[in-house]
Amino acid sequence: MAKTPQQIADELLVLECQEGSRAAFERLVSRWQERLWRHAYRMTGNDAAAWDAVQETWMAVVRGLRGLQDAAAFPGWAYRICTNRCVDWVRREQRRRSAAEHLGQEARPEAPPAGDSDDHDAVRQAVARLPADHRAVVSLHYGEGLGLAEIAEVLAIPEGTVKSRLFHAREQLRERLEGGGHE
Amino acid sequence: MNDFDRRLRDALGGQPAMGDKAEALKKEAMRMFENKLLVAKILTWVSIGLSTVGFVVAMVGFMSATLAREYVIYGIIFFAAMELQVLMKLWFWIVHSRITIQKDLKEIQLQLAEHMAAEKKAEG
Repeated sequence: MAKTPQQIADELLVLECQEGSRAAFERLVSRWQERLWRHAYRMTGNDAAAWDAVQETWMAVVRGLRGLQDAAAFPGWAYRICTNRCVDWVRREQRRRSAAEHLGQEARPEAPPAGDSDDHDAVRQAVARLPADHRAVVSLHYGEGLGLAEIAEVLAIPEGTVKSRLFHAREQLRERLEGGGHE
Repeated sequence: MNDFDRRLRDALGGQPAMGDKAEALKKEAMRMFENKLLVAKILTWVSIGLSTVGFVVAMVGFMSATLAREYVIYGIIFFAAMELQVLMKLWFWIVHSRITIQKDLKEIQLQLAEHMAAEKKAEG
């Protein structure tokens, strides 16, 4: 597939950053942090956790940018770092909640992302209840518009696994949103 | 894409924006990048300084040496300092050349992509 001018411009910015250009890094951050934040927010459903994930992503990007051999790999690499941070957070949170339930305390429910309509809220709440791995696939596919091959590259898993995770996630969402009814 | 997929895409694609947090996070990222640049600069100058000191010490020592063992030791220091400088320059040159070539290629790609996009727009 031919690259868009925006993708090539991103690659140019990455190369300029590798040369040590502050202006290029500033532009790269401006272009990417919103995307990374939205992805992190979809994954965690929590403002502070999304903030931490994006901050840690930039920290890792700054540390590893010079070693990045192929500038075209930047989007996948950045999403991968961010996704891994979010998956770690979600798993920690799930452990914490199950420990709280085990101890008989009232588990604080995960805050659903604030929405602009009831249906959007319902979808986001249903996504927030998915396992972390499935949430990552759903967020990258439906939120970021990535294809199966791109998601496979980001998550470093086979394309077949992405397909199956997406299928199962979709089925779970359908069950929660439509009460198990199929189209 | 069916209706259910479209519903998911609409709900997840329209997440709230970062708002006023964006600027603070950007500043934080810039600070990290500048710190990294500073560390790289310090390391470069320390390496240059060390190899220069090594050169001077080795030269002076070699000239004033009287024993064969001293000649060998100062000779080794001289070559080590020289190797350090040569390898550093080679590494910088390789990295710089790689980035320059890649940038040139990307600029050509960008021009082609923009040209193709303009042509597609004109056709459509």
